[in-house]
Amino acid sequence: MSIQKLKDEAARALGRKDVKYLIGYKKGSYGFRVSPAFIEPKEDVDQLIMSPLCNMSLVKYVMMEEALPSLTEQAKKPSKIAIVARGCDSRAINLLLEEKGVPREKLYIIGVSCTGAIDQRKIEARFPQVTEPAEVTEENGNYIINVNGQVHTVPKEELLADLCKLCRYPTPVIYDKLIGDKLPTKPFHYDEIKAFEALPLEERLAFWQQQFTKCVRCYACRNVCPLCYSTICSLESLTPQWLRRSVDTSENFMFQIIRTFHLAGRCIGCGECERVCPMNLPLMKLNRKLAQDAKLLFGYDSGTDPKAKPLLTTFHSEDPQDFIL
Amino acid sequence: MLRKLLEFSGINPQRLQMSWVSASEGKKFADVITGITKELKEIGPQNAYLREAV
Repeated sequence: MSIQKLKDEAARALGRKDVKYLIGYKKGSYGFRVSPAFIEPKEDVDQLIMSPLCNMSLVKYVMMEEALPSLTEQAKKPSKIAIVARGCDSRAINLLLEEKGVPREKLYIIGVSCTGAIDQRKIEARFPQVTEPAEVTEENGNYIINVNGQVHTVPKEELLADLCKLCRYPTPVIYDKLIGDKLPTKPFHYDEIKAFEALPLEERLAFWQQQFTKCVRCYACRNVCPLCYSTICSLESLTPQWLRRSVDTSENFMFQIIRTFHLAGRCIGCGECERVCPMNLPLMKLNRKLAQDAKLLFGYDSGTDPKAKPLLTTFHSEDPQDFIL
Repeated sequence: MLRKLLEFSGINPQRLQMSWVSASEGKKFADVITGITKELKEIGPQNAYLREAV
């Protein structure tokens, strides 16, 4: 896809009377980081970039939008937010629409076909101690990386984020304008979850005990999740106190089970939680397990249809009930 | 789904059971509770995620 097309489209979106500002990516100030860009005047669209380094989800910023205090003031301001959305972001938006978390009229979605993002940890391991902002482009299955004036070519497979390899919807499923070609949808596969399920109970327990011991309870996974937008969170509730503040295996386990279960039938698999986790917990393993169950038990694929009903709010007489005594 | 998630994270799924019992079904309630306690006694206590005493 061409960056000029994105800039033109962004300028056109900002030219509309009803669009307040645009959320996109801009060049970061350090190493392989990119920053979110909030663009108001349309002359600033030149800041926008779209590269394999753009690995963060911008949907969270839509949910963090603060409403003006009074309705009259709200009416004075144009209401729409334009957002640059990749495949996974568009699914998150779809789910928010499904849950009525955000109204469709509030969004102007510029869809971008995405061929996968780079894993920050992998590229930083490959090129350590890079302080100057680097540039990366993709060409014929390779990443062309420009670090400190030196150009490196690295095969895409080596740096691509693991979750992007499993991505099923590289093309946005909802958009007002699409930039780039439509890429084919990939089939449903959860092989690594199946393999883990096949392990004996004790081994699974030992694996998760070891993982949850590492958790420092920074709640970054919750804060970054585009779908965790409740204003009252059970993790912070004191009456009743569902879990204690102490960081130990039992509380961490409780925290992760609560967090995962709140995403049951909702998680769209963007992998933000895993990306920001400072302790490298395999959180997507839990999320993907529930996504797999939602698909296999209920035939529900989260975030693919904005008109669908949220899974856990619906009941059908054909739903499996074998767990009831 | 919660049951599947717990099973996935290494908890015996027998520990979480669900049943519908109406207030008028006293006998069924007794049966369900007896059944569950019997099964749980067979599995024994879960020591993996014990809360530390404060």
